[in-house]
Amino acid sequence: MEQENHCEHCGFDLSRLEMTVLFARKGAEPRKLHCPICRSDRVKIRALERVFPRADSGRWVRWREGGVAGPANVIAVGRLKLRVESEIESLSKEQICFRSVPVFLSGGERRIPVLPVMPEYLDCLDPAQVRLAREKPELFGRVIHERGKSRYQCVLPLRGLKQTEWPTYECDLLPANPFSPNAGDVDAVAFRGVTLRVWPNLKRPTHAWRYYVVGIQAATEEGMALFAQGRMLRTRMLVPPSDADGRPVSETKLEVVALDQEVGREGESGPTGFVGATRKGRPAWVSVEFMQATQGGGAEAVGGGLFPLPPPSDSLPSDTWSFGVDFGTSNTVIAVKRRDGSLQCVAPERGRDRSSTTLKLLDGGPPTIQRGIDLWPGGEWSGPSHDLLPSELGCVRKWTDVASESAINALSFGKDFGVPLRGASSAVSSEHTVSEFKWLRAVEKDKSALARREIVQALQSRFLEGAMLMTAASLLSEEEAAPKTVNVNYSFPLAFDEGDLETLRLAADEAGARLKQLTGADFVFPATPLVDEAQAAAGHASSDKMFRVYLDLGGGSLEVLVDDNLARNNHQGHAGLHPHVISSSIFFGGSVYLRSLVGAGEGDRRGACVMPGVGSYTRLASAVRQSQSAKQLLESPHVIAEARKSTAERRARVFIGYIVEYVARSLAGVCLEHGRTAQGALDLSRNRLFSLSGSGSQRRWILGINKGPQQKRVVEFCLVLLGNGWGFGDIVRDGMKTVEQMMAHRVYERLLDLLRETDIAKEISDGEYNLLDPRVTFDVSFVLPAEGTHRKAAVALGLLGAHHNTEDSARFFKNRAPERHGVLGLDLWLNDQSRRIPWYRPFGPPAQDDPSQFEVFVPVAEPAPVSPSAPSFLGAPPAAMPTAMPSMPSMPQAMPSMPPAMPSPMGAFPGFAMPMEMVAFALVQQWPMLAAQAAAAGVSPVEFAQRQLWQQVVTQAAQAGQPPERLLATQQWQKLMQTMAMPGMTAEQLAWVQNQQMTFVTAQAAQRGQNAETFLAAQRWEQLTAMLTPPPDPTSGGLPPMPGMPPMPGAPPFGGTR
Amino acid sequence: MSDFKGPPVIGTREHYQFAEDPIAQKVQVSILETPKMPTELPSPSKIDPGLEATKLALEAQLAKNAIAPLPLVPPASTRWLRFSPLELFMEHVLARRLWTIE
Repeated sequence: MEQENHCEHCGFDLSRLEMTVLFARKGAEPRKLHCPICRSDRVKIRALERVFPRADSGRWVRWREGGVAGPANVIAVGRLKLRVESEIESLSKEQICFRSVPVFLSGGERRIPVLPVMPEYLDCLDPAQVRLAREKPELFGRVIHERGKSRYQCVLPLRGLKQTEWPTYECDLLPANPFSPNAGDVDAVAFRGVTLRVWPNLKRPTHAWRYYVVGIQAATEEGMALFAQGRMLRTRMLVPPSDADGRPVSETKLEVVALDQEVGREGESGPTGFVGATRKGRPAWVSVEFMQATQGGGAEAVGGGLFPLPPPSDSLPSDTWSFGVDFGTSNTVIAVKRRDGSLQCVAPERGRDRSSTTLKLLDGGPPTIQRGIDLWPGGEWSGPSHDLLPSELGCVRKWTDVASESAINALSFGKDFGVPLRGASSAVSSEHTVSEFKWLRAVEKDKSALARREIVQALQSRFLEGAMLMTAASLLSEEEAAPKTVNVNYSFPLAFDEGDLETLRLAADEAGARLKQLTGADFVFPATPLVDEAQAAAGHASSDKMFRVYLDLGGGSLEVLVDDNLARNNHQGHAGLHPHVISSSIFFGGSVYLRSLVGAGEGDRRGACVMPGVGSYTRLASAVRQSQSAKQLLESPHVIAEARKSTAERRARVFIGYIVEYVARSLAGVCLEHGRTAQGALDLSRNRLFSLSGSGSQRRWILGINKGPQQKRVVEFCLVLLGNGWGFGDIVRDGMKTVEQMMAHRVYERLLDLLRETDIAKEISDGEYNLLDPRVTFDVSFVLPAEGTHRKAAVALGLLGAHHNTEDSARFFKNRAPERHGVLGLDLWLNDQSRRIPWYRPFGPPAQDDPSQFEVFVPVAEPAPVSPSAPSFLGAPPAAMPTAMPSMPSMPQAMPSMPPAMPSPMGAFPGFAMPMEMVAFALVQQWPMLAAQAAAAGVSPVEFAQRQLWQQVVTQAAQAGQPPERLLATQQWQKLMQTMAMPGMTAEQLAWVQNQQMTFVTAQAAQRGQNAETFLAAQRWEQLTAMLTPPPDPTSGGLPPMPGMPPMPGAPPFGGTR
Repeated sequence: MSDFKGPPVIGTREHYQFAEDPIAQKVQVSILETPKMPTELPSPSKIDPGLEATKLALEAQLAKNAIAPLPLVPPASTRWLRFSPLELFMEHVLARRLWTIE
C-alpha cells in the first residue's frame, strides 16, 4: 500500500501525531515540515497536494471532489491537524470551467477548445497534464451526443488528485447565434468564418524568439457572430513567465495578455476582431471567452475555452544569417544569403509551396470583410515577384496623434502599427499611413507634423524593425535553425546629406537593439552603411563594355553611376583609376510623377489627374503596387480620370524626358572631359574615352577601343536600369519592346546631338580619330534584369555580393567619393572673373584613384600621341634629373670663407644635407649677428648672407661629388617635378609631363643663351637668395632696411637671369 | 568653345590647374540655359520663368553646401562645385511643378 503520510527517510507515519500545527500564516508561504523522529524534511503528506494556495491570490483552496472534510481552515492528516490562517475555500470543477464551450468550423473541420477551464484557474490543474494538453490536444476535450443534443466533454486533471479521481466535465455548447432554434445540433451551433491566428508561425520555435502577435477576427459576415448582441467577446493569451534564459518556469502560473486592440472598426461600424502582442515569450494558450453583463454592472463569462500553442523546443540559436537591405523610398527589398552561398530575395509565403508565416488556430477561410487598416504582419509582399515590402507604416491612430519619438517607440508592431501589406480600405484616412520617411524632406511635404529628424529616425527604426521581424519570420517558417547573429548590410542614396545618413545609421542602431530583445538574435548593422545604392548594384554584375551606366530610379531618388569597366578590370591604361567616373544622385524618383498626378498637393486638386477616391499619394502608391504596369494604371478608370489621361501621359513624357536628358548630358560630360589647362592646352590622359591599344612598339593611346574582327573603333555605354520607378517608362515606350530599349535609344540619340552641338568634341582626338569622326561608333546598349529577378533586386543582392569582402573591392569602397560627383548639365556664369563654365564640366570631388595601381607604360620608340615631339627621356624615372643635360656651366669664382665668429648653419647637423631653404632660414634667424659680421667685413648683410649660402652649396655639392651648379639644377628639377606630379597621374602621364617640362625649360634657356642646367641652377639660386631678407621686425640692433635682391658678389654664378 | 584656343601651357603646378580657377566662397553664380533642351521637352525657363526658382534653389544650395575646400579638390576643372545646376532644377523646380504640365 502506498504510504501517503510518511517520512520517506525513517518511515514514520505523521498521521499518528495528535497535534495541531500552524502550517501557513496569512498571505505567507507554508512552513516546511520535518519528521519529528529523524528531522528529515522528506515528508510526504498526500492531503497537502489536494489543498493548495492559489497562484494569483494566495488564498487556500481544496477540491470539493477530493472529499476532504473538516474545519474551513484546517487540513486534517489523520490525527495531525495543519492549520492555515485563512479560510480554505472549496472549489468545484464547475467553478473553474466555462459554463458552455464554443465550437468552431475551421477549414471544414470542427475545432473545440482543448480545455474548458477559465484562464484564472489554470493553476488548479496538474502542470504535467497541462503540458500534455499542449503537446497532444486530441487527448482532451471532445463533443459528445446525448439524446439528440451535442455537449462538450473533457476529463479535468485537477491538481493534487489522482488520475483515477479526475472528474469528467460536461457542459453545453455555446451557440454562435444565441437566438438559433437548433441549439442541440453541433453544426448548427458552431461558429463559422472566425480566424484565430498567431504570428509568427515558426517551424521550430525556440525560447529566444519572444515576440508574438495574436489576433481573432471575423473573416466573413458569418464570423460576425463573435459580436452577437447580448454578449461580449474577450480574447486573451496566456504567456508563461520565463527565466533569464527565456525558458518558461511554469506551465500553469501564466501571465494574461489581453487582445485589446480593435481591428476593422470603420466609421460607425463595430470592430471585426481584436489583436494583441507580447514580447515576453511564446504564448501557451489563447483563451476565447464570451461575457455577459451582470446586474451589478460587471460581466461574467458565459462560455469559452482554451486553445493551445505547441511548446517551443529547447534548442539554442546557432546559425548566422546575412541580409542585404535595399531600403527604398517606396518599396524595400531584402536579400538573404543562404547557407549554400546562393542569394535570393525574400518573398514570404510566395506561392502555395511556401509556408505561411501565420499559424492559424482557427481558419475562417479567405477574408471577405475588409474594413479599416490591416496591419497583420503575415502574408505575401507586393510586386510581381512578391518581394517588395512597401516602405510604409500604418497606425491604428492618426500619425499626427503620435508625433513624438516616445509615442512611436511605444507602439507594438503588428498591433498598433505595421506595414499595410494589403493596403487600407478607402474609408481609412491617409492620416493613418506614413510613407517616404526615408527622407526628412519628403515627410515635410506629406506630414509636416512628423517632419522632425528624431521622429523620422523613429519611423525608420520601427520600419526596419518590422521589416527584419517579417523577414526572419518568413525564413523561420521554413527553416529549423534559428540565427544567433544576423549581419545586415544596407546602403544609402548619394543624395543623402550628412544628416540623412546619420538619421538612418541611428535608426538602424535602435532597430538592432530592439530586435535583440524580440528575437534573441544579434542584428548587426554596420556602423555606417557600406556603400551607396548604385555602388551596391554595380558590385553584383560584370560587363565587357567600356562603361556601365547604372540608373537606379526608385520612388524617391535617381542614382546614376558611370562605371569604367576598363578601370575596374585594370585594363588598357586605366589601371589605378577609380572605376566610378560619375556617381550622382538626385531627389527625383517615381514619387515625383505620382505626386504630379495627385495634383498641387494633398487636399489641393489643382492639376490632379486621379479620381477623387485616390486623391492621396499613399492611396495612389497602393494602387500602383496592385497594377500590373503603369500603362494599365493609366487605363484604369478607377484611378485616372478619363479626361486627364492625355495629361498624365504628357507628364510621364516630361518626367522620363528630363531623366533621358540628365543621363545623356552626364554621358556627354564623360566624353568631353578633356583636362584642358587654364591656358588652353589639352591633357587627354584624363579622358576616360582613351585607352591603350596594341603591344610593344605599337602600343599607343587611342580614342575608344578596337572591337570586332575589323577592329572598329567604338565608345561603349551599357545601361543598367534598376528600381521600380522605371515602371513609369512603360507609358512612353512608344512601341519599343522594353523600357531599357527605349532608354538606350533615346540616350543614344540625345548623346550624339549634344556632342555634335559642342565645338570641343572635334578636339577630343588621338591624332587619327576625333569624337565626331563617323568611323567612331557610339554604342549605347542595355541589359535586362536576370530571369526570375527584377530591376529592384540588384541593390539588395549586390549588398550580399562576395566581392565586398575582397581586398580588391575594399579598394573601391574605401576610396569612394566623399560626395556625389557628376556633370554640371547647364552652363554657369561666374561673376568673379566674368567667366562662363560650360555644361559638360564635372562637379564634386571624384573618387580617389590609386596611383600604386597605375599601369606602367613606356613606349619604345613611339612618340607620345598627344605630343608627337616628346623628348627622348620620356620614360625616365619621375623626379630625376634628366640624363641628357647639355654641357655643364663653369664653376663660379671662389667665395670667401666663413668668418670664424659666424657659426655655420650646418653646425648643428654635421654630415646632414640640410635643405638649402633651411640654411637660408637659419641665416635670416641670425641676422643681427650676420649684420655685425658683414659690417666687419665691409659688405652688406645680404651680400654676406649670400656668400654664406653659396659656401653651403659648395659644401653639399662636394659631399655629393658633383659641381654646385648641378646640385642646384637637380634640386630645381626635383621641385618642378614635385609640383607637376598630381594625384591620379599614371607613370606614362608623368613621363609626358616631364617631357613637356623639359622642352619648355630648354626653350627658355635657349632664349637666354644658356643650357638647361645653368638655367635651372640660376632659378634655384634666385629662389634661395630671395629668402635672404632681414626679418620684418628689426631687433634692437637697429638694422637698416635691406634692398630686396642685391646682385651676387663678384660675377653672378649663372649669368644675369633676373 | 573657341575662347579656349591657345598654345599648350606647361608650367608650375599653380599654372597647371585644369580648366577653371577656383572660386571664392561668396562668388555670384548664375545659371545659363545652355545647351538647349530637345524640342519635345518644355525648357527649364518655360517651367520656371526667368529661372527664378532655380536661382533661389542655387543660392540656398550654395548657402547650405558651400564649395568644396581646395585640399579635397584635385587640380581638375570645376570640381570645387558640389552640385549641378541641372540637378538643382530637376530636384527643386521640376519635381514641384510637374503637376503644372498640361
